[in-house]
Amino acid sequence: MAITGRPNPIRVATGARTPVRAGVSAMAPLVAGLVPFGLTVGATAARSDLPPLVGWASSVLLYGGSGQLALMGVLDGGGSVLAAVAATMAVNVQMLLYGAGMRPIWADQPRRWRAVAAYLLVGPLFAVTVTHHQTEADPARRRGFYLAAGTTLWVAWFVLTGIGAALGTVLPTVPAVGLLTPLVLLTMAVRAAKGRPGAVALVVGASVAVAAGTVAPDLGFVAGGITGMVAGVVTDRWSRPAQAEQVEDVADAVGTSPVPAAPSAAVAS
Amino acid sequence: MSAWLALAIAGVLTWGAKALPSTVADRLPIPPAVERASAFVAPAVLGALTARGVTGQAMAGDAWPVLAALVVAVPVAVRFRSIALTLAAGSAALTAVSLVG
Repeated sequence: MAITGRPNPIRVATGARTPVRAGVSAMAPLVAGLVPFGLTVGATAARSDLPPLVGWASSVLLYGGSGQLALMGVLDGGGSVLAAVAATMAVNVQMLLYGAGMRPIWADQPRRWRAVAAYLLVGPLFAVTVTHHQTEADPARRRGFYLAAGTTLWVAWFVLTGIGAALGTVLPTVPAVGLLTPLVLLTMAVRAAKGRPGAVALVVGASVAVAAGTVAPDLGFVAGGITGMVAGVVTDRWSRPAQAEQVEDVADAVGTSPVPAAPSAAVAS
Repeated sequence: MSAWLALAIAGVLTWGAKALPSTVADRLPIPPAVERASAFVAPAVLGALTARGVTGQAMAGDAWPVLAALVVAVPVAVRFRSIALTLAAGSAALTAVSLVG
């Protein structure tokens, strides 16, 4: 029987590797970049006056470096439970952004799976998942990738903070390693920015995060994310009439009726 | 005991913040404007994440090598969209400026 159908472009783009292998591979460079941070979080727990296992257990129960540092910092300084929780949630309000970002991506996944998968959701996993899912439409392969990448990061984080807690103050500082994660995130941000509105969202988000981050680093990140999102929407709205006019001009020139303006690349992605 | 209590409460609330938008809030009708805005979550949040990471590195030590790495890495990332090339270019610039400085 002759094969007449065209190959599935999604399979061609991503099917060379299993979702599990792709997830582990995608997360590997980010894990390498997180080595200094993970060791630092573990060492912070070891140096504090908290019960020995609290710091390490926070890698499981809280799972998020910035939030862990906030919690340990307040408790170690003699803060109350309420103050510690409030400080942690002020930092972890960023998780709402990740959840909101995954909402359309998880629309075709079972609700129970979404609830469980949300536990693993942190910045690096959000980054690799958004990038991967742009070229992978199969829900089962998406789940496999997400779980593989998320579990890789979770295990690595647990081990790194454990090593940091064990080594305490005897830790080397290698600047190039610390910059690995931002550079990987930079590439993923560029890949995620489709068209001019996407580029504006990226640049504004980064700029506001830097400016506001001088006051409060984690809230600055949230401010950057929200402002960048709004800037992308505004730019998209401005660019739409221009696109429609261009389509009408072309239609007039060739003597046909104008077709509806296509949605911008960022909206379509 | 209070440390464990704080950890447990913060852990549950953090998980709730991650899960809420995709489990509970997905039952609610989303206005078109919000739906449109969600298309820009990824570039905005990833851009902010990158900025926070770079700023953190710059503030942790000498800022010039980090700035040099960024100046070299951004065009490479935009041009090639390759993680490996961006890492290579940024790390090389960081190392070179660190050695010179």
